[in-house]
Amino acid sequence: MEDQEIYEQIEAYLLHRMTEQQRLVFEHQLSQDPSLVQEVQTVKALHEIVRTSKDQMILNTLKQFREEETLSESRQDSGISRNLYGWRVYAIAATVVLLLGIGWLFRSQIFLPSHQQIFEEYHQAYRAPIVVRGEKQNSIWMDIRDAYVEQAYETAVKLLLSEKNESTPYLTQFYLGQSLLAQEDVDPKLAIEAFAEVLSMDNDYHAQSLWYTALAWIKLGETEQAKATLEQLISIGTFQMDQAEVLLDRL
Amino acid sequence: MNTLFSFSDEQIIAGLLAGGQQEHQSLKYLYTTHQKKIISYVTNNQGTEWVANDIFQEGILILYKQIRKGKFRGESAIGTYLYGICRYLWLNKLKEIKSHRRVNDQLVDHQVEEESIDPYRPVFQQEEREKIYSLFSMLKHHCKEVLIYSIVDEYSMEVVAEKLGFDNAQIARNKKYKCLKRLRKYLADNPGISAQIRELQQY
Repeated sequence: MEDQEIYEQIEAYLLHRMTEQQRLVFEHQLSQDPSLVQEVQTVKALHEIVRTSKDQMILNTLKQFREEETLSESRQDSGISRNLYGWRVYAIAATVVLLLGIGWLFRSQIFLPSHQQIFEEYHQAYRAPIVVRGEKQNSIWMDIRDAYVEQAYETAVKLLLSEKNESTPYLTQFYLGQSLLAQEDVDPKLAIEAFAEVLSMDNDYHAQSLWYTALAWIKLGETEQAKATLEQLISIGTFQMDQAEVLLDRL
Repeated sequence: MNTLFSFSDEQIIAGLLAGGQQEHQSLKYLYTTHQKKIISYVTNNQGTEWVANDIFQEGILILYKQIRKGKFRGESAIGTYLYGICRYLWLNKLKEIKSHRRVNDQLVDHQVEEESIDPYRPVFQQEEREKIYSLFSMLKHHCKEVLIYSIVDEYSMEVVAEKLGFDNAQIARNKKYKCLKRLRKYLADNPGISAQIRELQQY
């Protein structure tokens, strides 16, 4: 019997899709063949992974709502203080205008938020990578995670560049982009390149990469590029959608 | 979080059953409309906000699964049902915390009262779940879809083929088998996760 046929039999057994007769025959085989018992256990484990992963996907969506909400609350708080601050600033500005007759253009150049300010307002590094402890191949990722959590982004970049991640190369690129973008003195174009790598691969980090790419464009002062990226993100609609819409309006 | 539209229970259920963007909108609506009530219930009953959020999210997950499995029969409003689930989850958790505290009290003479309600303590083996998901997330998108439709939603392979645009059920079957083989390889490469799944299966 082919492997696929055995798998389909096991699945039919596990999902109670066998007739009574088929079930009895299969259980008899099980009692005679320990390797078949082992196969059943493996299939059960694979099904568990799929079910648990779907649960996790739902929880990730809910967590994302929570993150968006927290971000929105902190933005509202800073908005309130900015407004209060703004009143004072504009009062002074008006006096200055009256007294010195300085034109509105000069005033707007001073008081409109810069791209850097907008970037800082919206930028929050993505949560640290999840690493399975106790496995040799993951020791470098534990170092990466520690550096990332401690905001030692320079170290994280060095570790990520030395990491040969063949199974999930997009994760390396994603966290490389994160670590580059979070550093003040690094050209945001490098982060954009790393996120572009993520976008060129098949993975679940496309929306996240678009959000951070948009922020990198803002950091560079490239408003049109940022707007186009945000529009792309909104069309996907699975990550930071509310924030992307607000930010797009502001730009 | 702003919600522009009001959803009826029927619309929420239809959205959760449809999946994709509609599922996302229904989840968002559920989250936005019921969060405050559940959080205040838990925080007014000795819980921290952190744990309250875990309870709330777990409650939505249970509701989601009940709806997907057709076990929610609409005998009460979705909000009432969700509140009931979260209340049940929190009372169970509280019982667990209290018995944990009693054991600790006997062992170390009242010194660990705060520790027993550590807000960072995982509520539902969250970390294990995330690790298991890290394996699954290595699969390609179409593999994830085939496996979720056939194993979680238990759609027949005819329906899976139709949903994913395969020519027939046999192609969907072959695709599913290939995807499972790939997942099996990832599992074999991560013995730590294998052990965790065995533990999780005992719950």
